[in-house]
Amino acid sequence: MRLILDGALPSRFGYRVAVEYEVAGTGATAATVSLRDAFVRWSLAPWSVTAGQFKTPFSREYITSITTIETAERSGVVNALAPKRDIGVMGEVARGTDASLAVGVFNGEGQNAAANRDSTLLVVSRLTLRPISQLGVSGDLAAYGPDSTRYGGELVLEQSGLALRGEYFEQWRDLANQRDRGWFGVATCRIVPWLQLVTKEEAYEHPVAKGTVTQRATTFGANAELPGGRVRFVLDAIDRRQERPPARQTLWIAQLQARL
Amino acid sequence: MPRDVTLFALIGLTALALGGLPARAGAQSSAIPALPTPKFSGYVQVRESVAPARTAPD
Repeated sequence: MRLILDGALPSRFGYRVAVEYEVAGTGATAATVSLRDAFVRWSLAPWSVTAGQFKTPFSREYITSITTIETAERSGVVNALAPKRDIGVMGEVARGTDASLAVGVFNGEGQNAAANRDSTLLVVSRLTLRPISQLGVSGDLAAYGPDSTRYGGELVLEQSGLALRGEYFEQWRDLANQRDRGWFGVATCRIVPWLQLVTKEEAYEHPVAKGTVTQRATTFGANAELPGGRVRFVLDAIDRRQERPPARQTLWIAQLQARL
Repeated sequence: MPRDVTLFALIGLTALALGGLPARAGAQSSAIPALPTPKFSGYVQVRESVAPARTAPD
């Protein structure tokens, strides 16, 4: 469960606080409460500056709420390579919905870690262009000292209830001389206003002690929205494959989301 | 030199947000205006997943 409080402050400032209460289904671990977002934002169109703890601007799938993305789970490459919530300062400029640029400087220690223990800053940026309403192109870049550089790109095509979206990411580690990379592509079709069919293909390749492990997954799913638009039911079947050591798993996920 | 700039910036922006920029040097502080009513939102999510045991590929 996530509870969010946001509002306006004087002098063009606004704020947002989000807290999450999470219970693992096994009962073996205790429920947790954690702070997700806590930031203030100053806005003077087309500029804005955000400071506090919030999502770093990297990957559309990561910065999009889990209540909005088409599948129950984010892609493996996004979970592995995208920088997550962090404490920092970010500047944004937007030209309507045609173009936007976000550049942020963060501690690089992750959420709820107030101190910068290694005195290294994480710089994250994202450029989004939408030359026509049916086409979107984005680029992401994240640098964390000399040891980790992550970059990626995104392509979105949308027309009449059909959508194709794909992202590709790489991470280069200078010191370890290692490269992680992966991609995903998702296709959606809205059959009727309340029902959407989804298929996703993804791959994530990362080095291990002996060679490289490649993980692939194929998802077929359906999203049904109840009248009122506040309740969504997601049903996904995921086929996961891995090479070296070989393994295969089929996972069924049923998820109910109610927006408050 | 410590590079924990983000905490410094957060404190500064929060102070500006709560206090506003002073109109001029030496101006007397006025009463704190009432804030707009915050907007409350969120979501509840329940998930059930079933995963048969991993098997070697065909």
